[in-house]
Amino acid sequence: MLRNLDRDDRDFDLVLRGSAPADRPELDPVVALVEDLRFSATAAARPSAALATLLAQGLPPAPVAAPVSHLRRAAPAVSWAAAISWARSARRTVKVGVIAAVAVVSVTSAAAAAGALPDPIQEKLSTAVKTVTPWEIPRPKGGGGIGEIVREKARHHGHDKQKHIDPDKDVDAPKTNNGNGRPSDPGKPASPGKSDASKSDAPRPSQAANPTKPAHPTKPTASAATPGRPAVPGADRRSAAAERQNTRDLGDPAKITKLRKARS
Amino acid sequence: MCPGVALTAIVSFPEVLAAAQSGAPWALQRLYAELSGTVLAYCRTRGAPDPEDVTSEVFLSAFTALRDFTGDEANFRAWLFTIAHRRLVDAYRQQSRRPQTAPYVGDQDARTAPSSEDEALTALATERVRDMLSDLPPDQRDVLLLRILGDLTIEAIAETLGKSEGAVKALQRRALAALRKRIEREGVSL
Repeated sequence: MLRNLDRDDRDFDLVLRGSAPADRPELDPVVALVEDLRFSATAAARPSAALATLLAQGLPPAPVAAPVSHLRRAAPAVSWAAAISWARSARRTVKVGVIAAVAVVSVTSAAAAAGALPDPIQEKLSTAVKTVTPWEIPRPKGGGGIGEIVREKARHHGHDKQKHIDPDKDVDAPKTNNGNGRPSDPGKPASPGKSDASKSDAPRPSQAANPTKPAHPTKPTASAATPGRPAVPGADRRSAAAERQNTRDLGDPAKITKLRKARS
Repeated sequence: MCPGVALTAIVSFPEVLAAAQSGAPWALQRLYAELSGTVLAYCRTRGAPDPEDVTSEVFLSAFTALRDFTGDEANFRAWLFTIAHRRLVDAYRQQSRRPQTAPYVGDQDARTAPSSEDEALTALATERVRDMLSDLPPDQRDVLLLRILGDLTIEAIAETLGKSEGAVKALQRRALAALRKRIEREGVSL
């Protein structure tokens, strides 16, 4: 069967050239048909008016390309149709990436505004934002401000209210106050938990001098092991009542301010 | 213009093509003279409503885009017949939307020139061929015409019609077999 098909193909090629195979005389009429068909194609067609004009005048001169700058010359030529079709197709693939990027930026910005980023990152971001924009985001040192409160609340669930810090006071607190909540050692890991622990147990001059500051109930060893934290003179001599009062007062930021002023 | 003179007899096709692309009228005329007859026969045998109008449209489209063409003579023929095929498809669609209200009567056509012997023979041959091919399905007829008139290869025909090479070969075999049967049945002497 295949041999017959191939033979038919070869025979037809011969017919196209104007001759039939010797062993296939039945193809002679087909050869004549082919010749007639080609003979009918010899007369030139009568051109239309537009075509006759074109044939008489030739092609119009090719449009001169506009001069391009050095930079544009290096860029590949892209038609508007190709650009639009690319944008439409690229939109579907790029959309997810754009949304993800926006989400990351949003989360990062929110975290930075809340002061929830790791300390080195928070510091750098705060400096950058303040330099470039008229706005500020909380700095990690000297108390995170609202972020500090948020972290402390989340961590202690409001049990140890002495950890609350006056945002008005601590935002602009000098760097020395970092010793209260956070050492300035750049090598300190930026772990929120650990930093929270250091904040809570790090030495604070005011709290170090505060005889009413109790040890952290859940991390007694951390507070004891925190470097630079002096022993609280007379802390053990604090009365229980004063201790209770102090605890209640420390729940109110306004009272905290007053207490510190009084103690300092 | 010399319709019967082959293009390659005097000037090579690349030279004519380059001259035509540069805008030389003589080169355009040469291309038209060489190929318009085959395109017209193709359109006429395909049953185009106005074969000469379709042929003019084909060459207008081809010459408009001539500067973008690159290739040899075979490529140019394939390209030209691809345009012709698409123009015919468009003409059929227009005809189906706007059917002819009056049948064409050749004697009343003012454009018909007085027949010379050659033109009579041409008309007769065309009529005979048209009759022989009228029974073929459109696909088989297209393949035969492109092979015979356009001198296109199987690959070029496949690209023109949007079919595979195997499908084109199959159509060619079936068309040849159908022609043989028609000839044997009617005992037509051509």
